[in-house]
Amino acid sequence: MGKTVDILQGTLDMLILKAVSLGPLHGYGILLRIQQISKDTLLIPQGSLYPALYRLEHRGWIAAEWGKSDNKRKAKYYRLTAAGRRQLRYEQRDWRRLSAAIAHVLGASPEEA
Amino acid sequence: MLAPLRSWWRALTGQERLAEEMAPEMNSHIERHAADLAARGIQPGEALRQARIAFGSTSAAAEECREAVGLRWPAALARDLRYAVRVLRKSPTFTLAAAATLALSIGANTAIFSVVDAVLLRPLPYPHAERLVMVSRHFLGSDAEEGVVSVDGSVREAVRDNATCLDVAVYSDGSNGVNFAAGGRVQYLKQQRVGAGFFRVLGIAPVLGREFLPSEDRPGGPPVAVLSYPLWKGVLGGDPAVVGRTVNLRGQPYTVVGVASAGFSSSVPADLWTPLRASRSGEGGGSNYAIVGRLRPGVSWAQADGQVDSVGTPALRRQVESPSVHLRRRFADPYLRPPARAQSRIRPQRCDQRPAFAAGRPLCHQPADQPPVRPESRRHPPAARCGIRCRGADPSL
Repeated sequence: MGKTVDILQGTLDMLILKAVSLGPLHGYGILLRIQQISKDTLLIPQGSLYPALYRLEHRGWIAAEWGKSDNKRKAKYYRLTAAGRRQLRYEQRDWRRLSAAIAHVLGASPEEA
Repeated sequence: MLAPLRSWWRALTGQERLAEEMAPEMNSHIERHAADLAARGIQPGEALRQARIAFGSTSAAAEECREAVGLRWPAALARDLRYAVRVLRKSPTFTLAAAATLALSIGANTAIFSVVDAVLLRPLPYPHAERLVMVSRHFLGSDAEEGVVSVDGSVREAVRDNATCLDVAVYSDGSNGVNFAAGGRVQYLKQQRVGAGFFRVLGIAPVLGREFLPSEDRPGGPPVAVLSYPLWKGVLGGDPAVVGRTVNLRGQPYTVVGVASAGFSSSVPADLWTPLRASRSGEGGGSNYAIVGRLRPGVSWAQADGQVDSVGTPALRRQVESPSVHLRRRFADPYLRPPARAQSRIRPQRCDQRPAFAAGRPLCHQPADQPPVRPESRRHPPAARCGIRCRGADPSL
């Protein structure tokens, strides 16, 4: 297992939207999926996951529904809404621009300055 | 767009449901995490402990969730209110002053609104009041909107007999004080004189008996009276056999022919009604009478207006001797608006001693120009007092 990094402020929402865009998940499942896709690099503080979920649900980007999980336990499943899908597109676009810009800055050589 | 509002309202109205959902959701998260840890070979107890540590405080997370859906400010509001109550309790003088100020201003506002409501906003208390009309005198070229609603006998007869578009009645737009006596009780009351058909035109028939017949509403007709409901209930004990009974007005016997409906009131304070006995001359003469009419079914306003003008104006011109005067139809509002206090304060009294000076006259216990005096407030012998007072009483006694 490689070293974990704390996720950037403001990126948790985007990661959650992305995770549930792949299929409905309960809270713990979202956590696992993000960790799994990031190959255990991203560490999400578990306590801040739920406020983020409630905030996204409040904004109408994800919708929650109680259902039965694989081992017959009741669980609250979150899925992406149409508005959430739009929001995810915006955030992905902004993120790409931001990360490209930052990468560009960090990759600058003395000649470019 | 509406999703946040809907979610917030759902959260606000279902706070308990939200709390009930949050705890199991977070607990199941911890349990799943513990199960995963246990699957990796950690002791179940230790796994649960580690899962709990990893999650952190569930109550802090729940509080953040509530904030995320905008439930913080109702809680803050409740806290502020509790604080306000504590502070107010600590300074009772200030609280009292503030409450008194509020009470006074609210009271004043309510009082003003009640008056405005009664005087301006509320419809007249008669069925289909929008079809009730008055006639009034107008001078051509004058810009007086109001006109004058008093007419004399000739105009009255012209309108009554020829304005077939209207069902009309005449009444006196004033009431006078009279001594009323019945069954050993005396009362100073307000009497209004109204013509035959007055109750029919207004659309509120008496609850008992009937109103005045045309044969009673002419000079020299029989002395009859219609009592107000409060008078009947308060002074005559609601006697169901009151129709046909005799009551005394100004010492004259009058036969009760009816009792007006409970809520009935006319344009002036009145406790009982007697026939107007309108005529062109003598007692029923003069011009201090008003005509109220009800537009008959199927008649247009234009027809009624034309008829009022064509039948009333010639009579009016003969009376006023001016070619520019016209008789016009007007809506009955505000002329027929009942006063705030439509009746006297009915206060039955019993006088057992006949006044020494009024030999032969029935009942003169209550001075006509004085408000009722409560027996217990009398300090002098009633007879002596009554004798002095009655000297200035109603000359018609």
